[in-house]
Amino acid sequence: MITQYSFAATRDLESDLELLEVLRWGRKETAERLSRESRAQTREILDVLRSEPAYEFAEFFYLLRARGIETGQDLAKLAEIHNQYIVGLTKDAEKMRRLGLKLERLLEAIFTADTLPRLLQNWRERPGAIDQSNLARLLVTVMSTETCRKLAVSFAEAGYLARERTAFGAILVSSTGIVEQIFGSCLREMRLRIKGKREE
Amino acid sequence: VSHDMAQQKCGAGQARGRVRVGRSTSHQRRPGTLLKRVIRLLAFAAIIGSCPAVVSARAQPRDSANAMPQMSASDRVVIERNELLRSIVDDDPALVRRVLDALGKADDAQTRSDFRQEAPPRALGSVEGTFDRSKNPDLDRLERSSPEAMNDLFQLLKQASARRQRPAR
Repeated sequence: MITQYSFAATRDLESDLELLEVLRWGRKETAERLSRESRAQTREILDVLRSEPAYEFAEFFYLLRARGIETGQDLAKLAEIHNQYIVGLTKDAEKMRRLGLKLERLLEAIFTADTLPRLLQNWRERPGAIDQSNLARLLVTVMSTETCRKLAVSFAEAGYLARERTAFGAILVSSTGIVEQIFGSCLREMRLRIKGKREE
Repeated sequence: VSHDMAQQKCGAGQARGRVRVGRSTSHQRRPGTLLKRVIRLLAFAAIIGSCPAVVSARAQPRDSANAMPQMSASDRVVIERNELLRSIVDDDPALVRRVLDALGKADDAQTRSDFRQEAPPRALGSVEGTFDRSKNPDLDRLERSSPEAMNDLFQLLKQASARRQRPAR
């Protein structure tokens, strides 16, 4: 049952609208700053940076940093939780359908005895570095492998990711730290704007 | 989108070495199946907003459609990578050429919605059966964006957090 929402011209309604305004501004501002700070200024790159998946991609890197996922141990814990989540998803056909995921794709996203050691080894050797295919595994429910690759390429051209091919042919990506700053500063400004409006 | 993408996407008119596409097996295919595949491709083209161009390709005289269009090596890679394109290229290379061009144009004029999933996979699925994204990576270009999935990801990272979390107020 839908909770009754009052459209009476009250302080509550005003606050709701103010929150919505700040949320809208925040999304717009994040996209603008991602574009403005980009090293590459081609239309193609800027269009990708303004896309919805780019916002989600930036949020992921921000969360890794903000949640303090820094050591190999932290990443191992994340991989374990991720695997548990994926296994749970494979048992929930309705949710798989809702998220547009197939069993085969989910199974490929599980960190196995083959892929997990490489994930951890890369991270330990170069903190923050992650194989592009493993990054796609972590983002499996949010975007396709192909979109993840396109974003990694564009973010690298923008100067937000370092992207290099290893001797084994894998592509390692690691954040340069800029995207977390952009995302975090927008988030903080949003919070302060809401606070400021409340105190007005 | 990027240098990588540019290397993979439509290469019409590009200086890279060109190859001819063609495995003349069209007579071996069942017309009904072929029609369904064409419908799928038309549906896809309609979704990415290039339908008129593709439809006009279908409307051209058969001689014109049969004239083997030029395909670059990178076109060939895209075709091989996508089951749907692979299945139709011998029967109607002109249509595949149009779809490749449409993909290229979509790249040129990429908007937020181009990167999102929304219509294409579902619309294609509604045309005929299921559309296997894993077998058509380039056609599955309109990405999905699920608030539920993003919320799940947020919660996973929260659980994995190395930092002590303050209780929510």
